[in-house]
Amino acid sequence: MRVLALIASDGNRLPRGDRAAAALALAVGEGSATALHLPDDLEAAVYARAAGLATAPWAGRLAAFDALLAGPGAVDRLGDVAVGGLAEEACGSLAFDVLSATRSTDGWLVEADAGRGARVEIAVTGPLVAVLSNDAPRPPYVSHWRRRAARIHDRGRSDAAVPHGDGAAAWGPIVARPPRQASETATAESRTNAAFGIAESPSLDSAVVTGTAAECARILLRYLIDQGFVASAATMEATAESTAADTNPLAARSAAAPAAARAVGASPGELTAAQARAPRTSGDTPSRRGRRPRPLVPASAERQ
Amino acid sequence: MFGDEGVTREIMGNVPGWLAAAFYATALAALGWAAWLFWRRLALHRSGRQSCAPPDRRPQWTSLWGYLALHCQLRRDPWAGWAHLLAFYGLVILFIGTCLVFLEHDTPLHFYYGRFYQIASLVIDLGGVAMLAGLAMFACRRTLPIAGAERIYRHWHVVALLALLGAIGVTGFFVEAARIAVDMPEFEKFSAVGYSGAGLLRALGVAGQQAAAWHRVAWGLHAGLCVAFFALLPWKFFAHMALAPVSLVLRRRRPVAALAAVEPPPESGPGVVRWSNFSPLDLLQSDACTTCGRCNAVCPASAAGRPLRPRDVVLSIRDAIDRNGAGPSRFVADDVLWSCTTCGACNHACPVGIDVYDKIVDLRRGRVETGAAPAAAEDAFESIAAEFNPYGRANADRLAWAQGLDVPVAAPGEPIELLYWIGCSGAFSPEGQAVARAMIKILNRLGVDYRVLGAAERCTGDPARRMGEEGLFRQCAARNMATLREHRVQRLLTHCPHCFNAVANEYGDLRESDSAIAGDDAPRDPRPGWSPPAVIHHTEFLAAEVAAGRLGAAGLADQTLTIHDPCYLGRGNGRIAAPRSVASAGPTASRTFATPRPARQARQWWRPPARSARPCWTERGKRAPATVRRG
Repeated sequence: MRVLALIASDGNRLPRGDRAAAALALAVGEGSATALHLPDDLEAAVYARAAGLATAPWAGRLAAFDALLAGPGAVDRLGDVAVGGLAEEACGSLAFDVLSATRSTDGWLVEADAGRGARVEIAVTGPLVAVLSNDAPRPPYVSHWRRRAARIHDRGRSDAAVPHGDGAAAWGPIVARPPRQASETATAESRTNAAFGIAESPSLDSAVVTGTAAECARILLRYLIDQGFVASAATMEATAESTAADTNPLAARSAAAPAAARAVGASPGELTAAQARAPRTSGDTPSRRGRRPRPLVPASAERQ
Repeated sequence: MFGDEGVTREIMGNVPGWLAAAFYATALAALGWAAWLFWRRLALHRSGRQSCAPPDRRPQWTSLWGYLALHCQLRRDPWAGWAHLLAFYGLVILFIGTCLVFLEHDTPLHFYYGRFYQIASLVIDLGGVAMLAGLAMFACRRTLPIAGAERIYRHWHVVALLALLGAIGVTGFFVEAARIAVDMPEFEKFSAVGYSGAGLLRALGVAGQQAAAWHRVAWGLHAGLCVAFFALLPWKFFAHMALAPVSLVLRRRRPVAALAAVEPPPESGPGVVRWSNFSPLDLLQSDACTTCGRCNAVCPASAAGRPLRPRDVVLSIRDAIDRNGAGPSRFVADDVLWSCTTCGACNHACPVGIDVYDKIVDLRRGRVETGAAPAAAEDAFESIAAEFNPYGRANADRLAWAQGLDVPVAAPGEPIELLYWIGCSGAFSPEGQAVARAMIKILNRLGVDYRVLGAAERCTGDPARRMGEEGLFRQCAARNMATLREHRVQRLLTHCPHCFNAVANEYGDLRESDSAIAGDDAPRDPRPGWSPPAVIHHTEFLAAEVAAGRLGAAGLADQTLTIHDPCYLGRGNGRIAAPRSVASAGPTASRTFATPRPARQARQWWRPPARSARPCWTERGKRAPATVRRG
């Protein structure tokens, strides 16, 4: 398993989320995790090595991975779209405000902070890109003696870059880095949407997609087709249905979902990969329903 | 030479040859067994981690004299001290008397007769009485509500030692009484107890052959008990008789507050995760514990209801050695470990020189190195590392308290003759700020040429070290030393006892490697040939100014004062006279001191928790005057 941690300091110290990302990578990586740090960020590199991780400078290119655990400090410096791009590139799933992630039989089980004390559990298949929350459980402390030893050990030693796979593509942020305050205040969902360019985000002026519900549905479908969840033949049908739907983008999304299911040949009762990542439904067990986030679609819209 | 040779006794005359041979054989076997067990135990001690730091263990023979011969430290608790003194000297006299008997019996020497015999008999009898009296006092202490009884270690092997020694003493007297009762010679009156016992036996009708038979049985019993005593010498509580003096002689020659230098081997980090990470001296000290409980009695954390009992920490280490587990173990619970205030009262109180709080800090280092630091400690570490103070405040605000005052801040690289080191609490804590403001006013009024560092001042690392973050302490210390070196500071004045202790006692242990990795922003030393500054506590500075007549203390008149000796100044570094000297300055007619204490006896002062209605007490058990206020 290839697990990466992307961490960065704020100049003096590593934010707690970055430390949690390193610790989580160490825990789930079974001893083979690698920490990526910005080339000029010696503090992050030393911390990662002291914590027991292999390190490599961030070069904007990544080989295939099973999980990339990013710290909020790194995301602040690179921008939300950076992790969004990484997820898209790896055909993986992106989650913000992650509190923990554990391996499941067919992927990952991610616990994320849904705000206001609520937590959401997300089942993920395929590669995972998770941005750790600063409210993640406190990681084991890495002493300054260990950091001192790592610093002494590093003298005269240069980091080897992470070996890139054949399919790795050059990647870089395509929009300006969002202000730090915005990423701290925005919800995980709005940040995810903003990273993929499928929703409005006042903090991402250069990446804002302004449009009608139909346009939003088209962008969503384009993403779904790109990810292989929706066959291209279904595009027109889904677009037509979504155009006829209410101008509310949420309603448009709910209308497009059955069409998407039909497009991949699944019956409405079967769970597609895209649906598997959706919030829990009313058919779930009470315990799972209890952890579901606040409903995104108004009850009236669902009935429609 | 000593008079009539008939004034003596036949040694082992009534003892069958087989019994004497059996005694010699079993006694030798028991002593060999004890020696082997001691050797094995010392081998375990030697398997402790050797420090790379230069040793500071010149034997302290004077401590041994004060401890063993005079019982100075033990007699701080009068009842227990006198009980131990009587038992100890009684046992020593009996041992010497027994040696004399064997010299007479088993060597060509011939001296045990006449006047010498009578005097020796009297002294040996008195020694036996002293030992039994001491043991009786110990027994009373265990059963009656005597001061200090609450800290007794109630374990059966402690009682076993008392019982065994008591049985040896009683059977010894019985052997003597039965021997005298055979024919009741007049010169045996010098054996006062034995002669009285013989008279009692005679009164009970035991005499002649019957007394001889009783003598043989009692002798066998007495010899068996002595053999058992030899064999049990290395066992638990018994071992303190041999190891406590060794511990005292080898104790570290440092002030109580100063932690020992830590220089683990390159392949391992600081701190203790398993018992073998302790140093050989630490392991020996854990076996030397007498379980007297004085450390428990003086521990402020224990008094405040926290779960820490310093004696239990030491005994836990002993148990870990007994189990000899190879893997990491939590032989001391986390909440116990983090309850310690590092006041050093346990070290100060220990009569055999055990450095208890050094061991606690070592265990904390182990926790920190394995990532198990408590959240509060971790936050403090991060604040010290990032903001250079444990309060988490911006270091640029270090002089915010000095608004309106004329405070001379040193320019970069400016040589400083007298540096006033404010400290983090002086800069950020309201109480500390009041002291700093007052000191600035005094210094300005005296016209002293001094400087402060302002934002260039950083935490000394003392709190980090006490919480087990040795690496962060070294980082702080190296940076501060570089700053002091950059300014070529000659004297460092501080009102913070912790800063005082760290710079005066612990910065000297730093090595070149620490300076090298202090950080990229650490100032480099441009001018070699500088020696670390003399560190002065502000009370010493003020006392000197008062003594020179440049400073008065008229404002202290008509006041009741309470002197609270800071742990790290009074007990930790023995600086007790200066605060009293300053407080005594000026007109003293109407001034009273609530807690006047002689030198070297500064102790902490606390109000018992959850019983606020009770008055304050000093540690020595004296009720404080009603006018007392907390210092």
